Amino acid sequence: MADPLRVFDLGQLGVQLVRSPLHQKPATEVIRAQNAIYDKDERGGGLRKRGGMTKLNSVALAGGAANGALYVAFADPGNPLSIGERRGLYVFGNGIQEYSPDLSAWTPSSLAQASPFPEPQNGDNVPFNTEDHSAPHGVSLPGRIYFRGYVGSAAFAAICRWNGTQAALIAKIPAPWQSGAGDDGDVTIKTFFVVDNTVYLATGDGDPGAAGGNALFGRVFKLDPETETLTQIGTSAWGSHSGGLLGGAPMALAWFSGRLWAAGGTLQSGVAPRLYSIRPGVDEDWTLEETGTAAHSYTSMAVYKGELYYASRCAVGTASRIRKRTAAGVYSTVRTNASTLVANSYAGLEVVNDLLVFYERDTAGSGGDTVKLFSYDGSAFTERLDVRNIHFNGTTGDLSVGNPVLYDGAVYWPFSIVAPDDGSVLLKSTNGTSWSVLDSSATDNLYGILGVLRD
Amino acid sequence: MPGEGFYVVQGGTKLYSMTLAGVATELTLPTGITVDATKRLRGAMLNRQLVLCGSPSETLWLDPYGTLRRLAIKSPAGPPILASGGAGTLTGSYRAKYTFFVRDKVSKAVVWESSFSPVSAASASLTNAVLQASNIEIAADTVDGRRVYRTTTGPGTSYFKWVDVEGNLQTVVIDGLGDTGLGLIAAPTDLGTLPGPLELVVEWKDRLWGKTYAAVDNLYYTGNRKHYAWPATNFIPIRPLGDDLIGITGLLPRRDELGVGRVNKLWKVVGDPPNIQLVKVGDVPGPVAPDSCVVIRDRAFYLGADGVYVWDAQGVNSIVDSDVKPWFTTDTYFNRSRFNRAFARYNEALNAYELHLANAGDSSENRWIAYHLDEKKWLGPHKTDAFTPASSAVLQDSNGVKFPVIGDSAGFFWKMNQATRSDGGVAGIVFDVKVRHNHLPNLVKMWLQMAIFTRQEVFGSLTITPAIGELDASDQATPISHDLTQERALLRRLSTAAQPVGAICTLTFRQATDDQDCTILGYEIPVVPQGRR
Repeated sequence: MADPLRVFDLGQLGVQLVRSPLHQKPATEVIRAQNAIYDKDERGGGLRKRGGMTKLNSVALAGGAANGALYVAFADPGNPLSIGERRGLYVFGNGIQEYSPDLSAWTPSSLAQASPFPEPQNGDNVPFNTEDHSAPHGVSLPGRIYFRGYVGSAAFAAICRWNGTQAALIAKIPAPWQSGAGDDGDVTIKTFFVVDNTVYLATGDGDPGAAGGNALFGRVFKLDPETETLTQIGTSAWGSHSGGLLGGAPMALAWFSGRLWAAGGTLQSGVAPRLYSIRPGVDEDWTLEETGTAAHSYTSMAVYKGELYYASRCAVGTASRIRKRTAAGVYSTVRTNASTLVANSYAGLEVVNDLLVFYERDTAGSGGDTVKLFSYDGSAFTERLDVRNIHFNGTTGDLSVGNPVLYDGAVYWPFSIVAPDDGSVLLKSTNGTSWSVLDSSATDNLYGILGVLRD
Repeated sequence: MPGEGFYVVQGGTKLYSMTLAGVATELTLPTGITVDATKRLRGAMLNRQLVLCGSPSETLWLDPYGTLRRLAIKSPAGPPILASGGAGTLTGSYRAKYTFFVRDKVSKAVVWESSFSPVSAASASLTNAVLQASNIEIAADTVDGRRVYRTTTGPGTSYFKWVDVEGNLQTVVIDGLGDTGLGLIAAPTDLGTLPGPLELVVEWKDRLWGKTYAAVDNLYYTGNRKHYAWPATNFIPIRPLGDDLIGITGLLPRRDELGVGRVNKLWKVVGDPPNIQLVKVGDVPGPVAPDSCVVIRDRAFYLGADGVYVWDAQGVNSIVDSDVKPWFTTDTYFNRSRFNRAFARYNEALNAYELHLANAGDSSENRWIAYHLDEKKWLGPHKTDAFTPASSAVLQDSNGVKFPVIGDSAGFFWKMNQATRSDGGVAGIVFDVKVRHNHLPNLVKMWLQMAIFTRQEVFGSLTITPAIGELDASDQATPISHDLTQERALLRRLSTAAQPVGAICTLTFRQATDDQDCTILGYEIPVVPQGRR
């Protein structure tokens, strides 16, 4: 008997299936190895039936053959319903709620228990009363939200970061420009803005009631998201101190014509708000662009159809306005409030579906204020929703307006009634014309939206 | 980051975004764009922007938010017109030009910029004025603004960023910015419009490199980290020019070298622009199928006219010469007229280069063969009866694990390497291994009882069909069934009354039960020589 033919490969990762010349042993030729793989299981080698396949998409692509696929290594923050995973809106009121990516459910966010955590009432109501929270409360960059934080029991303003699981203190706002103008507790962050992957924020420094006149001071800072360091923009602080920029504190920021624009205000009766611009990194200091109406305070800015729009609020006796500046530098008033009562105002300028949306408040006082949402198409204004009468009819508390935020092509806007009613609604509009209630609560007191956490 | 990501897929004439869980949503194509269902989607990522080509009628750009745009938006056609815009501080004459730009939706950074408009005529000499630029064109496509550059007073010859005209509506801008306030960095010099739809594109050294359908001999490349900037001067002719109508047939981005193939040549680009060189690797078979090009750990694999080649530090070498040459040089196994349609992938779990080819006589790439890098051996041809393959890709799951998929003709993507041995239960995976023993082929032998070792399974059987005789011996009518629940078994004698002796024994191992695992670990066949006849 000749030597038996042995084709063994126990534990050596693969049968030696070599097509050998005929004169060699073992002369073993693999003719076919269909659906066979070299088995890399730890228990032995050999040839094994290949692994199976399962459908990635359970529903066939309607267009036809699956002719190619590419992996995109980042999630789409703008289209959460169809693409990657992310967390949604962070809305705060009595606690912080995290909206699910598909916008279908609320869950309490662990951010509420984090330290630092957002402190919605600590500052943006200065000098305003509790009715207006329409300035941005935070700003989103991929994978994080920057927000005004509150650390422990020490009430000082700080820039904080939330990444969905952890909150971190990034930077404390430097002490006010002038000793005695206010301590740390008086430093607040008025608004956030992002452009060119850079965060800008405006602060209000000091107690407006203490010094009078232009007594609300402020500064504008740049937050570099790479290094997370703060740098003051412009050499001058805002306020009535010697050399200060007149017109109050910066309340709204925008980017227009290659410049950062800041609109200020104090609501002091003798103070006219001012509009400044600067090219960060190029200009040494702010340039005054326009002086507004005394006792007004600017509230909001937006670039719409290539023009800069800015809105105001009035403390006494005159009507608030929406004005614009063209690319050619021409200023004009595009809307004037019919009301001249205290706190008549415009704010919340936001662009959705090629419409400029905003709110108009025509009076003030407990239970008497009316807040309406409008849209503007560049030529005509249209009232879209009477928020007070539609959603808070019969309530007596002042209507608090939160900040509008764009998310997935829609604008979301919270409103609430302050005590004793405490009810609130989160409105949504995809077209700027019709508004639906995404959520309502009798107790949540939705002050505002912290931002959108995008991956 | 694990958990992030999504897929962009082609389904016939449509493009989709698809979640990691496989939920697809059709992407809105820009107006006028169509997708050719007979072509495959290709793409490359640069700076978080995905460039798509191949099947779309124009090269597309997908931003991180799922918006598809034309990559090659037309640049402004007319120059701006400069004049005094009123009183100011500017004195002198200026020139200007401008671009269209798009901002990132979240970071608001400029992520796309067109090439420049024509340069304006020199303005009249201003005296204490502000400068007005009019005739700022409105882009036909959606853009976020127009960026105007101007010279310093003179006019100078260098352009600096002057002012942005936000939006796509206004046509006039007035600005009194002095020379000292202009951007500190001169206007970009690497802007440019893609010369035509891309057929191929890869990312290499922070640039995109591609071949257009129109200029098949030219290798175009972008500015550094600018997926949108294709300067007219950024191309390399790949010789011999006009040699055929195909031109560049494959791109192979290795670590330090970019392979550029023609059917019968392989070139490589070395260096960094602008200091790049084109070096001929050799007059060797180049890629015949662009989608067969796969780079695995700095080794480039591709299908050539007569086999599969690897280009690495050792040069270009065939990896099929000794074993499976007939697969590629005869018409017995595959439809060689469709070699240009072949596609391949790297199967990381198997450490194998897997190449899809059309079965002989068929018109789809319905077979695949695998070159196992560890063993340096080919296995196959493989097939599935569950679907007809149409494409392949390597994707990534929510844990960051890469996995290969096969796209089918019905619009599904199939994840490979599953723990089950089932292609969805439509039909069993046919494990079909045929082995021939040629030992002493001039000596007639009696083939005795076969002992077999298999991996122990819970149930199932393996069918073994001997064929004893010469090379053309028929399979025996009664195959052997091996119980897979037994790790070792002594089977019947292979020689039968019908085939008592033979010089050669051919064994066919077959297991086709759906979701039935099967592993052959080895076997032993005693033989008794009978002499020469």
